[in-house]
Amino acid sequence: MPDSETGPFLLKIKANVRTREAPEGYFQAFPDRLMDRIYAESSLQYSHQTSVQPFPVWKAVPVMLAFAASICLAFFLQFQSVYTPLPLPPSDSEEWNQLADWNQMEQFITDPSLELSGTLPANEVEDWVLQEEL
Amino acid sequence: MDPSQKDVAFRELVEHFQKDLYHHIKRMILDHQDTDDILQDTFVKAWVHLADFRGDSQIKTWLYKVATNETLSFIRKKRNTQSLDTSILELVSVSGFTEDESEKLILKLEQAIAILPDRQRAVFCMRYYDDMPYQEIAKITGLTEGALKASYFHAVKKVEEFITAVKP
Repeated sequence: MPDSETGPFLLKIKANVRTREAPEGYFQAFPDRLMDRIYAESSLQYSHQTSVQPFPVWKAVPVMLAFAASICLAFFLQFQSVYTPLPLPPSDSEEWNQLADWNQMEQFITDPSLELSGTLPANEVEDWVLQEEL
Repeated sequence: MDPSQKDVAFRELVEHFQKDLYHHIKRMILDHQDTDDILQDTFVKAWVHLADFRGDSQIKTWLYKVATNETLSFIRKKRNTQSLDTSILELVSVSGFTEDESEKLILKLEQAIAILPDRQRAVFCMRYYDDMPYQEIAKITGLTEGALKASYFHAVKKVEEFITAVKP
């Protein structure tokens, strides 16, 4: 190092600078301490890598399939209930029209003394009413 | 490389460079415990990235580069939490040296270095204590030789001014 660069003043100090030594035994022990730390950090890294393994995807496949199937089933049931046509009202059905004799019904309404065909005779109705009252 | 061979080679590397790197770090930090921490971090990084070392530079330059970066990073972190310069000055003043003139000068020199800006401090220590060529310091710091010369020139002026100002 050229003298002009540093100057005589600092060079004089430098001549008196003695190396400040580390504590006794520091350099003898340092490599062992360092290697211990390196091994400890390496084993930590290793254990971390082994303990946090990714979940195998194939194990999730049956669960995913079951989930998808349940979703599909739920949709199917939902749409089926929405789009199933409601039954026609009884008045519009052919069967109902066949069973009822609308002409006789009209007569009965206008003249209550008439009896509907196939109904109980008047005396039996009276017996039935009496039994109910008793 | 076989793991056991790597261990042996690395241990030799540590034994060979530990003293130089220890003093290099301690001249900037002064505290032994902090120096020990930084020295360990330096060698741990060297261990991790040993495979990446391409041999473009000497292994010594590479280790100095890691150590210098670690030290400057430590100084920056510590400065954010407390006044590093103040703590170093306190450390120097209680370090228990004898009262003769040369020891006083050494103490003042350490105080003067402590108040230099981070990069100037690193450049000054490498040039002043280790007589390191600018070419090598340039590889370590990533600065040009011209910038390093200017940095060292300013550092020398500041150190001289500080010591002469407080000269008894």
